[in-house]
Amino acid sequence: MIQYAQGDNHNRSLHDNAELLGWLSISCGLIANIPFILYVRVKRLSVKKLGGADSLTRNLSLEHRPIINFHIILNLIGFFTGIFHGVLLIRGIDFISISLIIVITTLTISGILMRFAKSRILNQLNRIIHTHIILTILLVILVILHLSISQ
Amino acid sequence: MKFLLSKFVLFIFSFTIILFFNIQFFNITIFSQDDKKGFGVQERERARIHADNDSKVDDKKGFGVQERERARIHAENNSQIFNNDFAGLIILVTIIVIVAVSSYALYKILIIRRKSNHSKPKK
Repeated sequence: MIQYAQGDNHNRSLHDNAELLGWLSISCGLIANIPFILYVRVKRLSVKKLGGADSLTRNLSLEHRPIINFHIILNLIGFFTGIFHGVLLIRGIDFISISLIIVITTLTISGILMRFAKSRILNQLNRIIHTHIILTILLVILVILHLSISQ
Repeated sequence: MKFLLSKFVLFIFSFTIILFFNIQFFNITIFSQDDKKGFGVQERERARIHADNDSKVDDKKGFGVQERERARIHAENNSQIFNNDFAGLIILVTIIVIVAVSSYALYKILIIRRKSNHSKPKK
């Protein structure tokens, strides 16, 4: 009986840790993406309203590289944390989780290729896939559904 | 070019509709649906067998009465948030969206390349 109680405790702590990894992955995604989307919007608005020669636009453009690196690193951490969370809870996998894995992997691969591919065509192709609004909407819906069935 | 675009949209739309009707018709199930706590059908079946083992003395593997009671509760937990059809549709919608977005990206690239070829001065 003691052995079983210990086993039960071990399973529970594993489950709790896996859940924590899931929340960590979501937090990384939120921190990496919401400021980045805001930055891109502000930069685009600044170019449109103030023009390319304005100091604000130029300063925003100078910040582009560190912001994109932050976006990539944090999203990669979130991706691998999410994968690890999935591996730990593989027994409870469902359709929504599988869909979520497909969408996140597509977005990550297209993002990596967009950043590191030398070919201009491949870069443009991945830019269209990575920045498509439908994929973003699908990702948000799937995360909400995943959270609602896990609670 | 607009004509091509409308054909492309129509193709994707009809492809999606045909796929959806096929799914509903054949009732395709890819995996068995798990319940809220992540326990699958097989898992519940195993728990049911374990719960039915009603020997009063603890069995060989050390399962006691309490353990069996817990297994019985677990076996009866048949809650399903989404039925198979709806959950199956989610994964299909995801795949269709990804395929559609990738085809759209390829189509856009094709247009860009064609435009750049047209704008090149002829020798």
